[in-house]
Amino acid sequence: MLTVQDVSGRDLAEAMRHGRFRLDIGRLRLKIKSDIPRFPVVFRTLYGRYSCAVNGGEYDFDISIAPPNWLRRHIACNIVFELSGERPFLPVDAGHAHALFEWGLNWTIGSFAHNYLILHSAVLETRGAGVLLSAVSGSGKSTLAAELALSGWRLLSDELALLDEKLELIPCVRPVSLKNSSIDLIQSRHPEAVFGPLATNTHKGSIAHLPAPGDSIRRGSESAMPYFIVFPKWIDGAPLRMRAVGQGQAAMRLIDQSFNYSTLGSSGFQRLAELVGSAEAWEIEYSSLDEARNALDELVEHHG
Amino acid sequence: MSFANDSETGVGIANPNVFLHFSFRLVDDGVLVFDAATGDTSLLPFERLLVLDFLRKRTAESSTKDCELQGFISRLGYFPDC
Amino acid sequence: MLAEARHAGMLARIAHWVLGSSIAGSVPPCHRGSLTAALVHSAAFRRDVQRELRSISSALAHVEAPILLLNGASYVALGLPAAAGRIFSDIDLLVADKQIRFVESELMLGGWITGQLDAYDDRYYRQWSHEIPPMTHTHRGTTIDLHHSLVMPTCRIAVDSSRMVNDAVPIAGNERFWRLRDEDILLHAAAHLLLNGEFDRGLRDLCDIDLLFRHFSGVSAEFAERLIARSAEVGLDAILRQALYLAWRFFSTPVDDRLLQREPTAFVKLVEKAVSSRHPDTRIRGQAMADWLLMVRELSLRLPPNLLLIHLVHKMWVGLQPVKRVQA
Repeated sequence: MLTVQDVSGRDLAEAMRHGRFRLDIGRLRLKIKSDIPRFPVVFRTLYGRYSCAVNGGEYDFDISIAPPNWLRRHIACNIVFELSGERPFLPVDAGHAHALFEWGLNWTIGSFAHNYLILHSAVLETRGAGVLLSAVSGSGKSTLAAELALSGWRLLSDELALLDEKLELIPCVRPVSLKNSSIDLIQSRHPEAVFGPLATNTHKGSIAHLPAPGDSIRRGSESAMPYFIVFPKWIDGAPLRMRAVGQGQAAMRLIDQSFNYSTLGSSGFQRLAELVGSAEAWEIEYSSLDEARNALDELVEHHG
Repeated sequence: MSFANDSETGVGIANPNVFLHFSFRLVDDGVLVFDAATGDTSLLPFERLLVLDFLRKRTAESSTKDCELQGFISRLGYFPDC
Repeated sequence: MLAEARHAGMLARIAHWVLGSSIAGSVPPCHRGSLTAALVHSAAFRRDVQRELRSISSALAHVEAPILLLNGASYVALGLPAAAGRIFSDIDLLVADKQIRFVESELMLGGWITGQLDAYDDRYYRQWSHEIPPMTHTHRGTTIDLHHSLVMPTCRIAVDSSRMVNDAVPIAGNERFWRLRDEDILLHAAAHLLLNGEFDRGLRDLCDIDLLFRHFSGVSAEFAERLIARSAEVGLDAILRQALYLAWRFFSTPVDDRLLQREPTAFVKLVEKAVSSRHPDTRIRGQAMADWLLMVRELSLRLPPNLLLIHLVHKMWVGLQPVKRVQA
């Protein structure tokens, strides 16, 4: 099985330039085309252990990261994300190509993968139990997800929970994107962790990506059954507090954080109702990552 | 006017001029209701009168009578008959 | 191929055909997800259109004149095969010229407002076009295109639009809205494709024509006869032949020899190029040039020469301005 780090830098760049590169992320196969010199280099640090192909073949989504025109290539150094020829975002600096790729892929999946109910949630698994971390952006969800992933939990996704009709959580393992001070926090707690390059001055501040742990990538096609829905909220200096959340309330909160609930119509309702009927919902307030992690470990241990 | 009852979940209320279709799910903190006509989802308290009120508002444009709504709520099987 | 289909707006339609047919079992599992997803999306879209039509119906409760549904919205309301898997951005309505002001104001009361247009575009729409500027709903973001004629009144190909409109009938089961006769629906689709000048949904529009032709021919054996006769009555006989030729070329539409145009004209050849795959990786050579030539031709059919130049210059100027898109 060929992985990205098995391919030489030159071959990788060539394959991407000519549209022959394919990346496997769990059940998705992506065609990634790009002629930006720096992109394949950074791509390797973030996706090194992923299975890939360099001689073309079938794919689910065709993605391109390239300058939109001559002017932007040579003078402004801007690039755009393109899916099947459509460009949903404004151009960004070429130095942020890897961050653009991640945003673009989130948008792609969120906008098109309607065979799944898609919730804005991190998904991890431990002791055979799937756990969703559902929260609005900025509540520390990604930081907590990174902490759990680096503490031996299996990472299925840092942003998008994909729930299929059998009520299984389908993995889409990708780098965890961290912002601003979270980057330093996680790095200081896990000095052995290697981050992708820092992208500064993006519209979200500074961003860096933590590659998914090797074990999570290796098991990237293994689904998980949802056992817990957790609503985490980081509050500076707050003592640990956990509260059980009613099924109905959990459902309403998940709807707020869903990408395509309304697109799925009544089958979305059925799927969501099944989810809250079969998983326990908890709210957790914390300021210490250690306390939060221990609390979640205990939760799964005793309630699973 | 016709009612179709599915003991666990879906119930339809159909009317020639006003299309209404609800799906209900009993949960531990109330009743989840999905309104297919508008795509809205609501969480109603487990209170017969409040559910009746909700349905009254939504079926206001049709000629549904209160007793029909009451009967329909009973058929859901969640609420004790009073 | 699926990527091309996605780009052309045809993915959902293909999903309908494939998953509803006997080859459904042989779809490789890796592609099943994309096709299922496209079906879910188009079902959601159809519900949205029906909801929107109900909304429009209440907003226009006080309008006594007929309100004609056109294009995609009419296919959905009529439950035609052409509605399956078809996504479109606006709902097209047609009302009599005298009613436009009233309908526009009723729609505004219902929450649809005319977008910001510069003075040039606004004047262009109201004076030269067959529609008023698009109206967008403030909460839902849905758009209505309100027409008063089926084709541009200044179009040099003389089309008897009012005849087609006058022969419209109410939609059975939903009498608030009206529909064109079967032949007129197809003729309008042909005119829409060939007299419009923009072809990024060209393949999809052509596919509509193929589906409409097959459906109506299946419903009535005399459909083709009525179609030929009607096209002559309203001045769309050449357009009809051209459209059917193209449909036959791309979709093998079972068109009678009498209706098939044997020697394609230069115009038809250009359209063929414009309608082919527009995906950046697979578009054919000469497509950009074909697009431009077709646009110029369309404008020259509609505008007197002095205005044509001004319009072209204005369009190029607008093209150079930064385009608004969604922020990541």
